[in-house]
Amino acid sequence: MSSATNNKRGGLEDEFRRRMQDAEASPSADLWARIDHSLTVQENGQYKRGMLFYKQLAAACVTLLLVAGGFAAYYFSGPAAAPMAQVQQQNEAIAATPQAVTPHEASTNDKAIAEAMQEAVQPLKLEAAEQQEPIRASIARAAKSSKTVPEANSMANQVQLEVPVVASVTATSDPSAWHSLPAAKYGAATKNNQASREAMNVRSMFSRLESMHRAFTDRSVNSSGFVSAGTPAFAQTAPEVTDDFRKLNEIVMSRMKQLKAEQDAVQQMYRSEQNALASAGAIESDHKEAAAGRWSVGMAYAPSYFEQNIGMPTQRMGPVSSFASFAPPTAMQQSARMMDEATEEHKEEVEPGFSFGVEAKAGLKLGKKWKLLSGLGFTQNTARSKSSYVIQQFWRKPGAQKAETPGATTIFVPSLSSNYASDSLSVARTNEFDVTYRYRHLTVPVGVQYEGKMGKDWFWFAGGGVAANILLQTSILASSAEVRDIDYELGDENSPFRKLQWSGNVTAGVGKRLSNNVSVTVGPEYRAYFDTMLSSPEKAQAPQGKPYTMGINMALNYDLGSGRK
Amino acid sequence: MKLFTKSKSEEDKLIEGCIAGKRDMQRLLYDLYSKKMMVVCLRYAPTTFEAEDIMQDAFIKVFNNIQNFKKDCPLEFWVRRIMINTALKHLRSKQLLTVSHEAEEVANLSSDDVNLSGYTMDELLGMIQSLAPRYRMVFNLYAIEGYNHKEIGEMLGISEGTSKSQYSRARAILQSMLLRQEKKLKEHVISN
Repeated sequence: MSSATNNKRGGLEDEFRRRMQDAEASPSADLWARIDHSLTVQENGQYKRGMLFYKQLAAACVTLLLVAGGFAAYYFSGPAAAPMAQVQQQNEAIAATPQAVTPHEASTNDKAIAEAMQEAVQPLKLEAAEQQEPIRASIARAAKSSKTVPEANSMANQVQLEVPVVASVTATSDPSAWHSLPAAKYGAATKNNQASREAMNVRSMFSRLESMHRAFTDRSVNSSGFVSAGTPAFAQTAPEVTDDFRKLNEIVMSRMKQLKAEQDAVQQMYRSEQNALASAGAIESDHKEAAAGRWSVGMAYAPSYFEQNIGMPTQRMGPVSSFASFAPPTAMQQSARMMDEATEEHKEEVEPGFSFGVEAKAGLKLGKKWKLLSGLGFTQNTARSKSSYVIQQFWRKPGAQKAETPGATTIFVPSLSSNYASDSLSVARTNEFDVTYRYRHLTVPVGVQYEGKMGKDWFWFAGGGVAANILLQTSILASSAEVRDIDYELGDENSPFRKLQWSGNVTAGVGKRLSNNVSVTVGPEYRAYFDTMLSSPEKAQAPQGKPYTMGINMALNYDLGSGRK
Repeated sequence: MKLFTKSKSEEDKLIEGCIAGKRDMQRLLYDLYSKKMMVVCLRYAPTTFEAEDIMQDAFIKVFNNIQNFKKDCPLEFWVRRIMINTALKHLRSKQLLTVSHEAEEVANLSSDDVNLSGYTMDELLGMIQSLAPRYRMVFNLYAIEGYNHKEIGEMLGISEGTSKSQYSRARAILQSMLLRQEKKLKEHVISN
C-alpha cells in the first residue's frame, strides 16, 4: 500500500501516524440505515432493469415470430411453381433413363398414345366451341356499339378465325383429360383478374400433365398394360403398348409447347378484346372503379409503454448553494442530503406508464403490395413515479419581507434545468405519493406499408414511417394534495419541453380481410423519438436520453371503390 | 470490533456472505470496520456530515465490489483504500482540490521535539480538518497513509514537486497550530 522509498518522515509524521492509525470514532446511528436503504434501492433498480430487459426481449421475440411466421406463410402458400418444377424434374429423370425399346414397339406406342389422346379430346371439342360463342357475341356487340372504331370489326373477325384453334384447347373437370379451356373461362367472366386466371390455367394444365405422367409411370410399373384408374382411355385403346418413356416425354413436351402457344393465342385475343371494349367505352366504369380502389381510409389505436428517458443529476444540485445564505449550515446539509435522496428516489422509481395513440389515415396503393399512408393522430405518452419528498422554492422581491413561492412540487421540475434560480428552497419528507408525467402530442404521420398474402383472407404486413409530433400539453400530476400539479400548454414559454418532436416508427403484423372492403390488422409497434424530451438538453444537469414507445398497433381499414374481388 | 473475531475462516465466511448479498453479513462487516473507517473519512472530509456521506458511498462500493477482493492483503486495508479513493473522488467532484493560498503565519520548527500526547483525538482531527482541502489530502496521504510524493502526485493528478511543496506547507501550518496551542496552554497554566 505504501511506498518503501518514503524515508523523510520525521517526528511529526510518526506522532500523527501513531495517534491516527488505530483511532476509532463512532458514526451516527442512522448511517447504517442509510446504507441499508441505498442497497435496497439499488437492488430494486437492478430488478427493474432486469424486468425491462426481459420485457424488451419478449417483445422482440414476438416481433421475430410474427415476421418469421409471415415469411413462412408467404413462402409455403406460394403459386404452383413447385408442381411445375416437380413435373419437369420427373420428365427429365424419365428422359434420362435408358430404355431398351425396339423401333416397332416405339411406333406402336406412339400410335396408341395418339389415338388415346384423340379419343380423350373428341367429346370436349364441341363443348369448347359452344363456350366460345358468348365471346364472339360480346365482342361483336362491343364492335357494333362504336362506329368510330373500325378495328372492332376486324377484331371480331380475327377472333372468329382463331376460335377453331382455341376450340381444340379444351378443358373439363375430368382429371384424366390433359387439356385446359382458358378461353371458356375467360369468356364467361371477362372482368376477372387476368393474373389469377392465368395462374389457374397454368395450374390446371400442370395438374393434368401430372396425372397423365402418373398414368405413364404406372404403366411402366405394371407390365400387363394400362390399368391406371385415371386414364381409362389409354387402358382401353393401347393395352399392348410397351414402355418408351423418352418418346412419351417428347410427346408430352411437344404437347406442352402446343398448349403454351394456344395459351398465348388466347391471351392475345383477350387483350385485343379489352382494347376493343376500351375503344367502345364499355370498360370505362371499370377503370374508374380501379382508380377508386387504390385509396383506402383507416383508424388505428396503439396502446404502448412510454420510456421518457429524462436524465436526473447524480451530484448535488446547484440551488443548495443558494440556500446557504439563508439557512444555518446544519439545515443546509440536511436539505442537501434530502435533495440527493429525492433525486435518487426519482431515478429508481420512475418507470414507463400506459400510453396510447390514435390515428386516422388515408392510404394510396403503390402497385400491388405497397401502400403510402398519411393522416393525423393524437398520442398521450405517460410515465410515472413515486415520491416521498416535497420541494418548495422561494423568491424574495426587493423590499418585500416575505418570500414568495409558487407552491410545493416534486424534485422533477427543479432538476430539469441547471440555470433555474431561487433565493432558497425547502425540502420536506412526506408520505409516499404517485406522480404522473403526461405528454400529449398532435401527430402528422407519413409512412409506407408492404403487404403479403398468407392465405385466402389473411395477410401479413410490415411498415415504417416518420411523424411530426406537436406537443399540445405537458402535465405533471401528483396524487398528494400538498403538491401542486403543473401544466404546460401549447406555446407556454416556461415549458422546458420540446415543442416539435420528430419520431420514426416500425411495425409488422398480420391482417384479416373481413369483407371485400374491410380489413383489420394487428402487430407490435416501436416508435423512437429523434430528440430528447427537453428542448435544451445542454442546459440540463444530467445527460438526456431519447424517448421511445413499445406497443401494439391495431387498425381498421376500409378500401374505397369496389374493394377486393 | 468485539462482535467479530478475525480468524481466517470467519473472514472468508463474512466475505462470502457479503458476495451473496446477505444483509446480516453486510451489517457485520460494517460493524467491524465502521469506527476505524469513520476516522479515516473524518481526516479527509472537512465536516462530520461529509465524512458520513463519504463513508456511506464507500461502504456501498465495498458491498458492490467485494467479489473483486483478491485476498492478497488484509480486508481492512482493502476497505481503507476504498474509503480513501471515495474521499478523493468526492472532494474532486466538489472541486475542492484546487490550489489555494493560505495567508497564514507559517512556523519553521524542528520536527524532532513534537509530542502529541497532550492532545485529544478531536483536537488533532480538528487541526487536520482545518487545513485547506489540497493540503489536507497531501498530509493525510503522506504522513498517515505512508504514500510517497510520486504516488500522491499520480493519485491527485499533480506533479511530485507540487506534492512536496504542498506537504511542506501543510506541515508548517500544523506546526504553527501546535505552537499556538502550546502557548495558550502555557498562558492558561501561568494565569492559574
